[in-house]
Amino acid sequence: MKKILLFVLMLSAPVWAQKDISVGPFGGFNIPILQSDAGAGSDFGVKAKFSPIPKIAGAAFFEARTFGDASKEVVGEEQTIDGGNVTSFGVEALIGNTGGGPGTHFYFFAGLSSYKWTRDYWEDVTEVGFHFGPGFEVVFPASIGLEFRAKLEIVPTDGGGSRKNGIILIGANYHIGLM
Amino acid sequence: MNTKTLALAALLIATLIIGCGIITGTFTIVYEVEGLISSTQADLQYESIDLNTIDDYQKHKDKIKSVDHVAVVGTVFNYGNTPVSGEIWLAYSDTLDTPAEVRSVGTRVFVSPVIEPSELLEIEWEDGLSYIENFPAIQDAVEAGVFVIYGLGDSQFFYVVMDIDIIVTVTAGY
Repeated sequence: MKKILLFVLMLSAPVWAQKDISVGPFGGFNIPILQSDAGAGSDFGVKAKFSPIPKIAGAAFFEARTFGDASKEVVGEEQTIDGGNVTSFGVEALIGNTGGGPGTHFYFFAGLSSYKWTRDYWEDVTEVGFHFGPGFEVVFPASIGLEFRAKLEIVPTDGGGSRKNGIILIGANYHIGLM
Repeated sequence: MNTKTLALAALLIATLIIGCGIITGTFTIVYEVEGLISSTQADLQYESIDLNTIDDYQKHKDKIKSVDHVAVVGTVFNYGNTPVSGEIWLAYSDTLDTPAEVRSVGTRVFVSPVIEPSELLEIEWEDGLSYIENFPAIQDAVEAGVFVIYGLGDSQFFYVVMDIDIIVTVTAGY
């Protein structure tokens, strides 16, 4: 019983609101929105986060993504093109319960990133993209956190349009800098 | 300022930075070229293309932000006696009578790999993208919606027959 009570107390995040540094890998789904030339793919990356005060944090990340094949019926048969690969690295600001102590942490984030889309059959697309969304992390007493994030990425393109991707991620963080 | 206000402010700033291009989508349309383009050096054939006959194009025509890529898909048959690359030339006139006229007035926008005599080349979507050239001229043609394509071979004497569709991908919106 004492152990349970101790665990519950530890999950009380504001008590543990401290400076924090965390790093960890993540993975998930990359879903193009209204893009008929790309399908859904995967997303893997790493992220480092620094939270100097309980309500605000900054993070830097790298992502390697794929798009799935796009298909279309042409000359009487279903044809496909490879969706290609994306590499992206960027920074973001987090606002909310971003402190790293054990407990639950809900926050919003927004940032920008360098976005490079590579396809064998067409020239590369290199742009600066923007993203935002909510995040949620459960940090356990052993300094390990389980994090869920959903983000909308918007990549402006030539001519005034944009490409948009919905990205759903799950990751694990090791909180190395609890102070 | 509480957390929700900060989050809303961040979203607003992000939206302002991005500008009006946020409400756009990328669409792919397929134009089926009617009939075959059967050309020799002495008897050129052309095909008039009117993208306005495709509902999706007509719906988005005035809101096109960019022409993202264009592919030629189908088959090219070399009926001649020498190896030849099939070519598609873009023009805005259907009164060109000779290969020399087409080459002087038009823009070459597609060139296939070399096809041996009596051989058929099948071109799928991904290959059809990589054989495209002079893309800015194609972008202008797609935005205009109406243009003419001529089929040629790259040798002095040629006889090529093309059975093709054109796949156009555009980003359109507000």
